[in-house]
Amino acid sequence: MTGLVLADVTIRAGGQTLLDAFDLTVAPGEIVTLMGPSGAGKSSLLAWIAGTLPPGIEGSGRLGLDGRRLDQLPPEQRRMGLLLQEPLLFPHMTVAANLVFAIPRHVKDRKVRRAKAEAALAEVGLEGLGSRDPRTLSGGQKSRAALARCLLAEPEALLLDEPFVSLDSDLRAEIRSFVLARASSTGLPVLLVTHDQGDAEAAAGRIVEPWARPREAARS
Amino acid sequence: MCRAKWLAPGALVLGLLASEAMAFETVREAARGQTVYFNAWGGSPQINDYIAWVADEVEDRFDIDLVHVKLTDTSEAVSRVLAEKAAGQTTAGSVDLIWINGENFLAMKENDLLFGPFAFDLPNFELVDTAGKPTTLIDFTEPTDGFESPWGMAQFVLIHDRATLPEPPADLAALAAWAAENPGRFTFPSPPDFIGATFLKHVLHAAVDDPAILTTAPDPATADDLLAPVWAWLDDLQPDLWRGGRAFPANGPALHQLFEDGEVDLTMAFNPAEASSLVLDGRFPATTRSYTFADGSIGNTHFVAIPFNSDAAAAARVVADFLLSPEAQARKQDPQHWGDFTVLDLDKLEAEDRALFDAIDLHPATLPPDQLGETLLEPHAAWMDLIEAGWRDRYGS
Amino acid sequence: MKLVARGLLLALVLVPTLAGLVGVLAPAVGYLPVLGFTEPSLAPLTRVLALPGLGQAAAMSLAVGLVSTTLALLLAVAITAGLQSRRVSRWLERLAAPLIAVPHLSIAVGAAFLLAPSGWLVRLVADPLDMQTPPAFAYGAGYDLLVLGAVLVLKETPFLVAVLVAVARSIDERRSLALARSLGYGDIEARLKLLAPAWLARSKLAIVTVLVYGIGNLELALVLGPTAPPLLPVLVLDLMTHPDLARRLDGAAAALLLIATTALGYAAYRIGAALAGLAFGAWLATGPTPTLTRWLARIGDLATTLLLAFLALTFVVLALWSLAGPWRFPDPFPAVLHLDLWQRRVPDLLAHAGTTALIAVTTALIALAVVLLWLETTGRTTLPSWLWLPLVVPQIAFLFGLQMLMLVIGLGPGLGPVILAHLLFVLPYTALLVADSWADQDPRYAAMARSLGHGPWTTFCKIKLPLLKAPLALALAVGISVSVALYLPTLFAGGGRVTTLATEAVTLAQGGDRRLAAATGIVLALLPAVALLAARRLAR
Repeated sequence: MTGLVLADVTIRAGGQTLLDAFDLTVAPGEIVTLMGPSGAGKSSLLAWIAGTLPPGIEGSGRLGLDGRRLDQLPPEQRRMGLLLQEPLLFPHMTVAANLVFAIPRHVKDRKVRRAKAEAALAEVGLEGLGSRDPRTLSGGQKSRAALARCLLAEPEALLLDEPFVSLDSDLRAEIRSFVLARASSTGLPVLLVTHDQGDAEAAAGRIVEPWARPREAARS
Repeated sequence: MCRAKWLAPGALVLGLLASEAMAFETVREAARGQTVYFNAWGGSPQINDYIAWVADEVEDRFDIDLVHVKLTDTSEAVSRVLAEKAAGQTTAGSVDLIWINGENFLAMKENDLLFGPFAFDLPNFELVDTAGKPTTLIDFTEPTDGFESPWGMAQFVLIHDRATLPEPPADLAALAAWAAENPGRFTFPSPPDFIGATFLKHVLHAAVDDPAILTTAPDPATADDLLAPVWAWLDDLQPDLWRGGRAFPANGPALHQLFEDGEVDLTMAFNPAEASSLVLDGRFPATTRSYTFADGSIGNTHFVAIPFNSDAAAAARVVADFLLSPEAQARKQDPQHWGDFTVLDLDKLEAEDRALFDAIDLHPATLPPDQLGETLLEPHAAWMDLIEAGWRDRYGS
Repeated sequence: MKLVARGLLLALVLVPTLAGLVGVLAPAVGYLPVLGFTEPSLAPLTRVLALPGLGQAAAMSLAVGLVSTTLALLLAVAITAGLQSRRVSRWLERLAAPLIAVPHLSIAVGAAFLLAPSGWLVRLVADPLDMQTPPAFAYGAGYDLLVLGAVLVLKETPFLVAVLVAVARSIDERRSLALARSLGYGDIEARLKLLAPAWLARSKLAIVTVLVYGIGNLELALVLGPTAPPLLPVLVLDLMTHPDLARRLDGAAAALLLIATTALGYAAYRIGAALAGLAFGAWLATGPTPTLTRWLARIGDLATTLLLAFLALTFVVLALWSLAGPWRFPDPFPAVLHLDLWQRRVPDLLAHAGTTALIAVTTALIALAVVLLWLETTGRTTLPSWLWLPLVVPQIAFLFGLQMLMLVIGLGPGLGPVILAHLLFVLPYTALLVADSWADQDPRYAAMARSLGHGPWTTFCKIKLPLLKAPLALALAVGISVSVALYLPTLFAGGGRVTTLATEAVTLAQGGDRRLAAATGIVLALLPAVALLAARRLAR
């Protein structure tokens, strides 16, 4: 089976069950939007998929990507692209260094790596900003840089955890459409998690509400 | 034939001497490349410099690496050897040579912590003045039996500034009288410091009629009576001491501090040339002079010994022998370098070696060997145990 | 990996300390086979209890420890509550880190020169008062204890301030202050009445270490303490190094008594704290007392200024003595100032400084590595509390037993064992400084790095460490400062073969050449200062 496959996924935190026996398949090129209220466990589910669950939260179930079984692998081997609520550009590196950091190890030549980073920056409209301190970038620029970094790592699936929530409303629509357009152009399975209706509509894909009450779930 | 009769024993003696020299040659060979950890008190930069010179010399001459391990107290090294023996460490001990005498030597000898006997076989030992300086063979009433090799002579002296105190008290009675007139200007290091303890030994000597009593352990029945005059004299002195006797300097150098600062008018040392070194160092005024008590002062010898578990015993012996050489002894006696008097008999030396000693400028603050006066022998260790315990009881708390 | 980290920590701290305690307990009850004592007996304890002056020695140690700790604590609370006028507190903030880093010994050496009857302070007034010889009054141990106590307060107050400030930061004070303001209290009084109890409750461990050091430290007791009788730790040392080897048993028994005295001190502290709590409760009930607060502020200001002036003077007198030609009483200044001493002794000073620095840097680095390894592999954010064991037991009590342990496992004295001994005392401070900032890390950076394809080791080196640069640099600097100041561990584990600036300073201060002692004290203080400056630059 190709694409991102979740089977029988259960997430538990502090004695509470956040998600029980959840199944989901995201086909390549498809954007699936997971909707739920704050605190429902959306971020935890993405963290489980990425393999970065914090201590205190447990998850079980099967995870597959393009036929590979992922749930027993460490995060660095899962090839998941993460875009989180904040861009999380590493503050001790320049923008370019942030991007170079993401380039896989099989690209060995330093000059080639730098060139790739510069090209990626240009693609997202941040040409020439490579040597800047990430803290000097605007909110929108940071989001675009984070996207460029994420894609440079050659991911096989994209996980978006409300990446537009920290942007102000006028910027939000612009960045949102930019990111979603790039995401769908990659042809990878994309899982978007949000509580915002606008995000779901912009994604224009299947909407899943695992935390909704049965009546609401039936509506989608 | 007469000549032949003398020839035989002469040849025997020559043969023995030659074979001894050869025996020591093998020791010197074995010593090459060894490292000797010389545990010696490190509280005097002067003495440390002298030991550094010795290290240079033995490296050049014998290819021995001498490392000076600076101790605050000799008993630190004794503890270490004891601890090593406790742990069953019979080789590769951390101490190879130790500067030692008196109680510490007794402790090591009694507990079988020493290598030897070795001292009498050292080539330079024959130069030692064992006849004129009996303390080179008997350490505080304990025979050395060759388990330690003599290094220098110590004589208890008092030091004063001729400018401020032109007529210092000549004996203990005069001292008490002077202190009564000048309260707070005299003190001594608190026992068990060896300088302070030695001062008390003079009080002990003055208190007993027959000094021979002190060479053996005290008889518990008579000890209290015999010590009574000691306590009486000290009781009288107590209120006239520095700080009213409510505190005492911790050791000899601390007393020197007080003298240098002008807080007391007298200080003490075991080295008749110590005052000179301090004058040359700029710490004591140029008018400083040394003297001894009129009724005699305690003298002793200090030694070097080798622990039983040293791996560098050969090199340690070579170093001990070098320390006895006229060259090393002469340099040691020179107040520019240390000032510690020699254990050698100058009459036994070759002319050129003797000249080394004659050339030494003793410096006015030193008390020359001919003015040292009568030497009092060290009392038996048990007497000192009583004195130190009693002093602690009465004044140390 | 987790087991390695846990095992390392256990082996480096818990095992040696416990073994050391056993190594001192056995001889104390009469068991020391090498000297032939194999029958347990209470004789050593009885002998020690019968020692003349023991009671006074213990009482003095207890008093100095309790009083200096209490004063330092009160001053620290006052300073943290912002009681100091703006000018003084600004000075204090800037000097806090260097003040903590200055070794006790440097200050002690300077204090001895400053405050002796023939010391500098008296010399400065000797001329106008026409004194030819120093005052020869019969002052007792009280004066020595006063000087010792002053040095302790001077050193411990900045340390306690740092602890309280760190604790205060973790408590949100805005709401309490707003509430208090609405009730008519000034900010400072509000902090004292509402927040200080919380600060103290969370600083118990630090306060205990200060108390234990105040009662049981050896180096300050040797340099500044009274002599007839001396303080208890000095009595212990005298017995442990007595030529009559059988007295070692008595030394071990005396060490047990020192531990008991320390425990007594802790009990007294708890009782005192409870009593103070009652008085405090009464103060709370009286409503706003701005006048009292203002007076407390003035007293606190005065105390702080005096302490800072004292500190400055000690260093001036150290510098003077190191440059002095002959300087006898009653001259207020040396007749000649020259660099002779420095020129002559620079090779020695450099050699000692080199050894000290080598040990300090190595120890601090190892401590940092061990702590980071533990934090990274166990996933916990606080290190075990037994890490503090070496700091709540008087040093001399277990270091003696540790010597025995070293021999049993065949570890000869030398540089390596000294580093291991130093680790016992450096690890807790390193752990304290690192654990806090480790816990404060944003875990999402590491998660991001992992999902970008990097393994745990690369993530640790390239992301976690650089982001913690500042607190790690500070932890290193503090580790270095702690190691530089250690005396007893170097003495015991080095077997006399390892000479550091601290061991030299104690020997010289007890009666060597004063000029050299002064120079050593200055160089001793320079090392931590350099480490701190370097840490600050690295943090930028």
